[in-house]
Amino acid sequence: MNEKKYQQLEQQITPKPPYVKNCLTAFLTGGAICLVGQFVALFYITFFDFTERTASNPTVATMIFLAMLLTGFGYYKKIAQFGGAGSAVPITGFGNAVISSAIEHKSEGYVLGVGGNMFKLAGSVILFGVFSAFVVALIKAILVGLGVVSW
Amino acid sequence: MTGLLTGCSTSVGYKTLDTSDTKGEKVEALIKEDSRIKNAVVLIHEDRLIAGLRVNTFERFHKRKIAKEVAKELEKQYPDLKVTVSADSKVLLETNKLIEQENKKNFTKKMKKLSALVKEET
Amino acid sequence: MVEKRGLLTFNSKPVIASTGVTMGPLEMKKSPFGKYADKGYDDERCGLKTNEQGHAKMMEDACMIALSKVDKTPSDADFVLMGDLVNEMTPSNFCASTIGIPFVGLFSACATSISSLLTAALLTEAGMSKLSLAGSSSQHNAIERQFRYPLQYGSQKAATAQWTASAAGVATVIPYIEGAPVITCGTIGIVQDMGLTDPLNMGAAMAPAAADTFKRHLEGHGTTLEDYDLVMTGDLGKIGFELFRTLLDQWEYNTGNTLRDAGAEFYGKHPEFLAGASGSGCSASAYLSEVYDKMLAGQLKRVLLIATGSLMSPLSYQQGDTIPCIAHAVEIQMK
Repeated sequence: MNEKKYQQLEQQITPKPPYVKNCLTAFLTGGAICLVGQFVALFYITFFDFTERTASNPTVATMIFLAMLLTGFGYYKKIAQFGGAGSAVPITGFGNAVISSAIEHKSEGYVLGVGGNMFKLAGSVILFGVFSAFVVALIKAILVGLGVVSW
Repeated sequence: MTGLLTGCSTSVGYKTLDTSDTKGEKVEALIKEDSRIKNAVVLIHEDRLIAGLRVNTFERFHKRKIAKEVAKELEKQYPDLKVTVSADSKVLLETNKLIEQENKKNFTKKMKKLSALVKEET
Repeated sequence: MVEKRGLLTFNSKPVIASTGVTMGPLEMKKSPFGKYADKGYDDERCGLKTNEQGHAKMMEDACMIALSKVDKTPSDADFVLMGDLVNEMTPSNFCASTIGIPFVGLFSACATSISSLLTAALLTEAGMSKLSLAGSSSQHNAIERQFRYPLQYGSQKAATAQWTASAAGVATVIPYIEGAPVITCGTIGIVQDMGLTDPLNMGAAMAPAAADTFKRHLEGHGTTLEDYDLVMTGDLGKIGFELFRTLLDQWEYNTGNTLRDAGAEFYGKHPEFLAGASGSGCSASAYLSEVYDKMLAGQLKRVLLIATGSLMSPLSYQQGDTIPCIAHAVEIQMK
């Protein structure tokens, strides 16, 4: 059996992912999650002493709380199967990654199990997020120093 | 939900309340001149001025800059007033609430609190 | 040139005297094989603390059921050959510890159902075993966690993804008696690696192994496709099975209606299981339930069972290695 020929055959028969449909469902799902987030933010602005600027803190906390409930009750993965990136990209997706890992590893105890494995999936998000924030801030600091932009 | 709906009603027309009469119309005129601003609520009481702006949808990206420019103009024209201008919808909401309450007694306290809120960063 | 290596012929005709098949709650509810199972459970952990313990319990119960059907106890059995997909095969190890039978652990990934059967037949053929247990098992939660992502993690699965079945299948193998299906011959697979690297499309990686073993079995033992009432692969899944058929068509075998795949059929028409079932319990439970029962009933006289396994680990594909696969075949006849 020729490797190349088999790989070509496999490419022919393996169904291609429906990219357009996936983009559409991701758009709808991501948009729906952000819509919920906007309502949550509006709730905090209206009924509490938060401005648009400061409301993002409790909003994020609430969205992660909702992600926790959905993950724990087994609904988040159903939303994800439908929405794909639309559910993975918002903060709720990050919450789902951390929470699902924590739930999974409870059987090994809290320190080595939950503590040691909780950031198994989210670790690279944190690492590369912090690193890219550093790079961007460095670039801006240089540009400000050169007088091209202001803070 | 009703709180959110009444918030939407300020999108119709400008509103100014000036407890010391003179400056109100001029301030409103100054803000109306700026075509980037859709709506504004202004409250002037004793030595404080609070203006909550709603910027045009497609200019929202520059809303903080617009608010700063308006604030600078107002400070230049009325150096004796403590001016707080913000494009944040919270300020618009709260200022509108204050005006509708018409309870002049706690105006200063509430206005001080609003000004502090605008300065918060996190 | 016909490949003559890896061929096994059992002249003493060892038989499968009985089988024990256990399935998890989802499989009992949604699988067409569920009605053939001997025992089902209300939860995946069988009431125990961890998934791995539940996994061991399913295997243990399958062993005990298979033994009880021939009125034997664990102390009557000479050997137990079994394996699973979990690291170091701990569920099988704990099962062996509980049943206390001389134990050889086997790892052929999802092909362990057949490799254990062939090994038990060999021991019986050599006259060293009067009663052996052979089988394998899998449990969805334990294996998803090890090979893929945490259970509740929201990753969107492609149409090629397979669902690891929670099931166990065990057979008792004894020297020849009348009225039981005979293990006549078998073929040990040679690892096939077509350079595929996607662990979420295992069916495509395993199809060449199934095709190769199929060809070697027929050519080596001198049989034709028409000799068999049924040729059933283990867990190629819908896409792997199509590739398998295409390969056989290319080699000019007249595929017709006698080809089936346990994995593709395991969850019937339910679309949420995507390409079908996988796991070493999938083939074991399907073969030792429906196929075995139909042979006893005389509906199937001669079958060829080809179980496939992908021999990778989470580490190997993260390191960029390809997915080598293997397929073992056993031929069973009923007079």
